[in-house]
Amino acid sequence: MASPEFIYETYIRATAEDVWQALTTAEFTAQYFHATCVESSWQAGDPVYYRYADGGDVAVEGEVLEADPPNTLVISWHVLYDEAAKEEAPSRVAFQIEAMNEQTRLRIVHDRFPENSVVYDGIQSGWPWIIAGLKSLLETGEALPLAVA
Amino acid sequence: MDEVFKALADPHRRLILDRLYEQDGQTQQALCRDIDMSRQGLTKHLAILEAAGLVVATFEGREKLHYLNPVPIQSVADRWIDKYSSAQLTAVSALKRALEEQD
Repeated sequence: MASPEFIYETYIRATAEDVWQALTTAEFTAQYFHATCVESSWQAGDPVYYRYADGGDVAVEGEVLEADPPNTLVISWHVLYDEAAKEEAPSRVAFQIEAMNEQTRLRIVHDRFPENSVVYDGIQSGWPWIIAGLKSLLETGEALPLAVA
Repeated sequence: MDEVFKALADPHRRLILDRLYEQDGQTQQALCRDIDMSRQGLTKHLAILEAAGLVVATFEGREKLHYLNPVPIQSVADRWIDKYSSAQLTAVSALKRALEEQD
């Protein structure tokens, strides 16, 4: 098995159910995920779309590979917001949510990038900002200002 | 938050993070080859970085791989950057709360 490419982790003062909801509900993702609304049935095999709240263009599309609420969500990740990335085969994103004492650990593993991936190069600044925004939203009710993106 | 600053205050630990930034998911052995540091020293520094959440480790079979996790740095930065943006009050109260909870 190939080793994971990126692992990001944070501890959030919220329940695992709340973190799951924040990851899978458009009203939440619009506030911390580059102003995109996520839509999916969250059944394995079904599609996932991250659609810009203004205009409705799809930024990222994928397929639900595994969904076990509120602990595990694995989706394929096909970037459409960048012309070069569009041509690229999808990578994979796994959200692992685990209750730990009073907090919930959210771990995001992004792997299975194709050779010479342009998506890989753009990831390093993207996820930390999204995850910090998600944490802030769940703990304070306020996301980070969108201007930072 | 104290742990993040404490972890970042040491140049050896910043060097470890630099190495992981260049090549993520390294074993301690691989890091040891790159950095002029004793095995024990490296073990100690990695433990501090892990406790601060700046390094996340996973096991791949018997190998322990270390990954750079910049999320805590992002959270620290956001607290003060927000202060000058439209979310001024939110940031100040979030900062106040975070600092009070450290006590």
